Amino acid sequence: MRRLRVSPLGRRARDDTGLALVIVLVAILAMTLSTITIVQLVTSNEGAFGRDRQVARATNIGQQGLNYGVSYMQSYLAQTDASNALAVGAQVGSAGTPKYTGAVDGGTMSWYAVKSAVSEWTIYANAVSPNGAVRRRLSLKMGGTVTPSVTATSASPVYGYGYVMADPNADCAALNPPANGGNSISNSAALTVPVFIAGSLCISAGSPAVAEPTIEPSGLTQSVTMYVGKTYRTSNTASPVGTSARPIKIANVVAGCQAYFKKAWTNQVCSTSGNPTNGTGSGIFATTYQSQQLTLTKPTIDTTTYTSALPGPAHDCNGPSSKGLFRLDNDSIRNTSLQIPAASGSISLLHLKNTNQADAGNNFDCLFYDGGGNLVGRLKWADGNPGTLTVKGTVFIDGNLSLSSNDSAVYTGTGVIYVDGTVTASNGARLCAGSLVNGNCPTAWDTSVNDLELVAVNHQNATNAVSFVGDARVQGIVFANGNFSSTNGASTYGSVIADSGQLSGGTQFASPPQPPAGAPGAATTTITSNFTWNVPKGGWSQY
Amino acid sequence: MPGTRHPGRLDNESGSMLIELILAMLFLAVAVGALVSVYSASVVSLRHTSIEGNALTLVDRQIELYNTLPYAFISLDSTTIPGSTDSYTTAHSTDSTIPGALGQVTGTTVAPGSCTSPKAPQPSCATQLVAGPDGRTYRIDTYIVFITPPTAGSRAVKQVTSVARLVQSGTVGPIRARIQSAYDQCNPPTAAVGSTC
Repeated sequence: MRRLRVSPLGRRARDDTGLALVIVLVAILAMTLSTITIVQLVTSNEGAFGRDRQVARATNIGQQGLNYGVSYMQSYLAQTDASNALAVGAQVGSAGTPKYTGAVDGGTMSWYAVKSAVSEWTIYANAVSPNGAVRRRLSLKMGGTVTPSVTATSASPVYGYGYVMADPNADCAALNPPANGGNSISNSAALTVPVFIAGSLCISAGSPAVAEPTIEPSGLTQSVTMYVGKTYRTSNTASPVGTSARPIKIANVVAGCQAYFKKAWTNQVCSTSGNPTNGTGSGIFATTYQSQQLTLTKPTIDTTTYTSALPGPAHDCNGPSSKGLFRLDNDSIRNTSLQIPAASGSISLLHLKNTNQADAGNNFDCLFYDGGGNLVGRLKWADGNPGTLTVKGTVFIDGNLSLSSNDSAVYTGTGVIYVDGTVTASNGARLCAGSLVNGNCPTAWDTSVNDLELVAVNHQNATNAVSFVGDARVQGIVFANGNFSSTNGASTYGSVIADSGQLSGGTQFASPPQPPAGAPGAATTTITSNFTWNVPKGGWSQY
Repeated sequence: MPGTRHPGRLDNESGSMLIELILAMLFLAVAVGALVSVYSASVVSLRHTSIEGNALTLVDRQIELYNTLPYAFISLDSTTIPGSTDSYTTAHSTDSTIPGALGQVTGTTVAPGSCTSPKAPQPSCATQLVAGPDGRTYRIDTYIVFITPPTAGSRAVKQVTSVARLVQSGTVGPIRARIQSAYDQCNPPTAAVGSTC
């Protein structure tokens, strides 16, 4: 048998010596590899979790940044961009220079804001996790909505009276009364409206001079109150205020009453309503007597109406106006310079051509349309007997207004006519709120339909800001900067607000209407559009 | 005879297997020992990670809850604020970034007992015991305080800090996870359109 020859290498291969060690080493190698794998997995798991933790904290740090931003921007926008006027691109801080940078919850945070669109701000917050490994950038949008706000103010309380003389220094009872004599009522003039006299009041004649009206306002049995801030004086009349049969509601005289008796002024007890001509009383018949100081502030005439009136010197008639001879100003300066006809010293509003009634040359129609095409102001005169005056809105005329002989107008609409100078009406002039009744203004008057206020700025400080004489009759509200004078049967169907006033002869008054919009101290309703900034839903993002 | 070579004995391989086996077992023992220690450390690490991960999940869930609430409801029930010896109160002394127990925003009330084992996160519980996703019990401590951001002109915001602690055998352990956020009156955006928030 042939013996097989085995090489040394083969013999070694067949040798089992050391095999166990090799197997063990291989096993150890395998275990080591698996261990390394496990260690790597565990390490990876820890790393991944650690990052998760940092991500969560960084995200919430950024969230804090956004809320820090909102807490600031809410106030900032209310003050700085309340009208949404800031341009797109406006910034509060910037990416390079954040509005705030600081430590928050172990990490760091910064924020800034940009007006990203009309009605939209975007707050950006950058956050870094506590270990600095994770960064987050968040944003939040703030949007705005328009919220209309209505602010209403009531009319000045002066319009609660029919006759207000607001100058406390108009003292007819002083040793040296003012040149105009202070506040006086004489020769059958009769006030049948609530009266407020800040200074003294002197009544001579009258039967009575202050009295309840023949027909009381609806729902009232008494409507007349009389306040005299200083001294009340009476002479030559047995019952100057009220009557024993029809006393006025309240008589409030602060500085006492005097009656002219035996050629001298004698003090009287105001609440003793005896005959003052024989020294037995004040002649005041009232249900209630008071001596309580009251305060009533006369509204200030806003002379900027010169530029704001529509139409006015700064806003001439527009649209299909037909001005004819009518003008609002002649030199663009508020100086009472306008005269129509020329050199007449005033504006004869109702007969511009110096002839009146049925002269087409007197007619005009001054309209003013705003930018939206809305008619906001108008003054129109259609000649006639009476003619028709149409008023709307606030009109300013830089001159003296004159209504003279045989001017007869029925006006329609509500509005205010400011004249830079004075207002005069004389010799049978009529300016009534409705068709004339027996040549006079009607007593029935719907002030919600027709309500005209004449405002005399009296820029040149004339003696009389408003002067009505000779059976002139004006139905509306008269507001004078200075003295008011009504004599010889002139009547005001409405109310008068001035600083001092003298009434003489047949003067009449009617229940005080409320002022039209645009008058001094008129009620106002202001609608403003506030832009309210908020955080709408869906404005949060992370990137 | 000493110094005489005995080739026969040296050539004798009997017993080498034993030595080989002893060496192999020695190596194996050392390797297994090392592996056991590595495995043990891994288990500990995994457990630690698991606890912190679950704790983070819970506090994140708690904070997310406030993201959905109207601003007025971001408050605590004062009756759920623990006493002075509780870790809720004492945590501030060792970690100033955690608010003190005083000055918390309170107001909202919760049903009695709902902070003990709530089925869902409770926004008004100063402390609440909840079961984590891993079945362990955790305590979620929530602090809500007013702070005014440092930027001049800012108004106060409500800062919410939520921390989670592992509860073992009734003992409340150290903080395992925490998250802090803040809320302005306008955010969450729950105000009606056009209103001021």
